[in-house]
Amino acid sequence: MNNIKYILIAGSAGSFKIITEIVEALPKNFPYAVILVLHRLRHIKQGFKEALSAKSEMEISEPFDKEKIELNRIYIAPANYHLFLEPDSTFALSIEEAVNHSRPAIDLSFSSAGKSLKDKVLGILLSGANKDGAVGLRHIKENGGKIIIQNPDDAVVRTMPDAGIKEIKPDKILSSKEIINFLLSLN
Amino acid sequence: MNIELIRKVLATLLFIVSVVFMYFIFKQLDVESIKMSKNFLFAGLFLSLLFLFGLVFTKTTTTKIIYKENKEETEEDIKKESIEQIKKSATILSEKHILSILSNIEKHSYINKFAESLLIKFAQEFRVVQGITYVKNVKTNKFEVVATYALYGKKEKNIFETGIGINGQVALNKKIKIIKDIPEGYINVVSGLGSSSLGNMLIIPFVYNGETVALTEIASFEPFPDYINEIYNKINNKIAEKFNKLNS
Repeated sequence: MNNIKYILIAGSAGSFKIITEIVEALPKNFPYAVILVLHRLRHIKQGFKEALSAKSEMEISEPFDKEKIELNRIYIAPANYHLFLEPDSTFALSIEEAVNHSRPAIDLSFSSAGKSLKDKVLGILLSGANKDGAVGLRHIKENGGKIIIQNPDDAVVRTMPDAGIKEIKPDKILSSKEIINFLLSLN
Repeated sequence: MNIELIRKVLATLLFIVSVVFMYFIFKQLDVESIKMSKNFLFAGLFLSLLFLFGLVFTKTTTTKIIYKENKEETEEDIKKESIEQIKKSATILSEKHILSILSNIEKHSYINKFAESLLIKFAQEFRVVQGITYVKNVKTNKFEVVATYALYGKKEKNIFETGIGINGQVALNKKIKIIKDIPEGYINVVSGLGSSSLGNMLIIPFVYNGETVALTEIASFEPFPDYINEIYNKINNKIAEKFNKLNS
């Protein structure tokens, strides 16, 4: 885990609670770029960032196209865009068709991060009700990154973690509390 | 009309009527019968009520009229105030957008970086979903893509000439064009912004010395503000001049 710089945390149904807990737990000086890719309602563009910002000591923003990814910061994939990570450590946005019925699609963010930023990436897949993210986890792992999947027994909706485990063997399977403790141990 | 005067006249009339009425009653009764008669009590009560009614009626009428006048004045005032507030807010917002768009434009030395930063400014200010900026190639006289916003993976070049297509028409007419309520698939036909239905599109020609030197098309799910022309008039010169400088 020594090379990790970019931590992508993704989820769908049932993941908001643990996302909030993670954001609340991370200290102000957390030296990683944390990128949250969550399935969100398309028509609700505001409020989510503000809700998380109220809980977090770290700065939270929704990135613009071609924005440089900075460490010690939390980014949220904007609603209704696919979010890609580029080799020059920038974000790219797209409004191409939904993938896995989702935009942002977790697979696209995970895959682009894995292919672009290789072993600097840690992907974490949380609770969710579809299979989005599983293929992306494989791309992270195949490119030298690390992957963690929330224990399906601990997840509110286990479909997404189950799909991830079925697709590729994760480095760790952890409960929500263990995920938080693990992230804090990286600091 | 003087409402207070009407009220006083009505009150006086009712008072006179009640006094006259009382005079006729007293005239028909002697002192003894007054003492004994219940009719006197009823008559007194009736006259008091009549007098009070007169006062209350005139007072109520007056209040109503005054209230109505005040209400009319207040609604009119509120309307005027609202319009003024909207104008003031629009000006403030307009100035805010202009300041933001024009900030840091001097720091860019490369045309594509300048165009990219400009698109990001538009995205920040107008919730732009997608955008493309074209610059006129001085050798071919054709407009070529120099920057995009949220068009990841789309590699095709959308070249156009002045007067050809909707972008070409805007370049020729040198006036911004707003297209509202775009039906699905329409953007794909008329512009380079892709296949999604985005609702609203704005095409902005940047005109330097009477010639369109660059053109930006941006799309948004939300309508562009009414004061967009005002903003355009204030940003065009500086941006067009910068494009011209970096392109030469």
